[in-house]
Amino acid sequence: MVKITSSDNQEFTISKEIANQSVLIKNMLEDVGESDDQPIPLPNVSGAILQKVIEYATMHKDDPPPAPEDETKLKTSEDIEERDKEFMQLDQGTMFEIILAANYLDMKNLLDLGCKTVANMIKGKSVEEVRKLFNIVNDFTPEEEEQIRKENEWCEDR
Amino acid sequence: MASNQSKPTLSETMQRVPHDVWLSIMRWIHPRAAFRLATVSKAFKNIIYSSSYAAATLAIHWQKEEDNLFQAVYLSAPSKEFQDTFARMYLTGRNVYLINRDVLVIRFPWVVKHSIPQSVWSLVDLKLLVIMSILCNGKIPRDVGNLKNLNILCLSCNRLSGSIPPELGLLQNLKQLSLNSNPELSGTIPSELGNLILLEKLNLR
Repeated sequence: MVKITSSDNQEFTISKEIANQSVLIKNMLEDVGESDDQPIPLPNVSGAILQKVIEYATMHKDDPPPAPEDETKLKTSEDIEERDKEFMQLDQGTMFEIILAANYLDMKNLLDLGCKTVANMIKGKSVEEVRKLFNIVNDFTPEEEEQIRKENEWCEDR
Repeated sequence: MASNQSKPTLSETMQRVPHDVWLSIMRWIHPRAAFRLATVSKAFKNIIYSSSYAAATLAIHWQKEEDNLFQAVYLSAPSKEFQDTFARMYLTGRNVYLINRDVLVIRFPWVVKHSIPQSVWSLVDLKLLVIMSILCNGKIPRDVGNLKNLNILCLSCNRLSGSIPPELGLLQNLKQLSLNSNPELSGTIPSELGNLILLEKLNLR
């Protein structure tokens, strides 16, 4: 078993196979060796988010190793497992916190899932809707915005 | 029991999302849809206009696109970085071969009635450039002189017009030059072509 602690000092005890899904933790474990039962500190992830990340890793612990990438297969962000879709039913803030955690912990599958989910949210949205969705402040002057809009008029006609 | 850390606000969270993660998100969005979102914010625009976005998104989207994607996206995208990466990557598609940094072959009618894409003239590593039988129009630009590594330049069977630029004389490594079957090419043969000491084959008619 492996102990990890969150930024707010919550301690979690997880199995090694779950821990190893994070390349960061896996590397740390290899560095410190087996015998050390000091908890691994994860100062960038809060307890609430770590809980969700462990939930994801537990759900996927029996996944077969990834197949070698099939170059001819079409890649699309719509390609998400049903259980993962359900897992991602979260508010935007939590969703991005999980993405940031996956990025920090180096968990490719979870990062991919998060990024695809966000991409699907962006698809079909207007500029104004995207700003609103992610709380992005428009930092262009009206003139700059008009200029860039003009540059991209080619996108409109199909 | 752990202290109850208050949940960060959405804006606080968003400010911590690094460029790489945004790239991983935006690559799933087709360039056409993504460029439409360039006015969201400066950071957003910088991501979409970057060559890393071009590389990431084309790796996903080029396979399933029709041949008109080149015209639609490449010829129109406002970002130079995007275009250059596009030229290098997308051109490896079905009828356009950027075989490696050295070799570019274009032989499909998606450039019909267009001039040769400007970015071709910035692929300075090219040793072989073949743009043939695709009814390209327009002039041969003076920028052709940029491609100093060219061994073979074949622009036969198009609708190129104007005169033959003297800059061709700068292509010191040229062994083969074919401009034949471009009935609208006019003017005299520039004397600079005499500098091409390695030239073995010349076809201008």
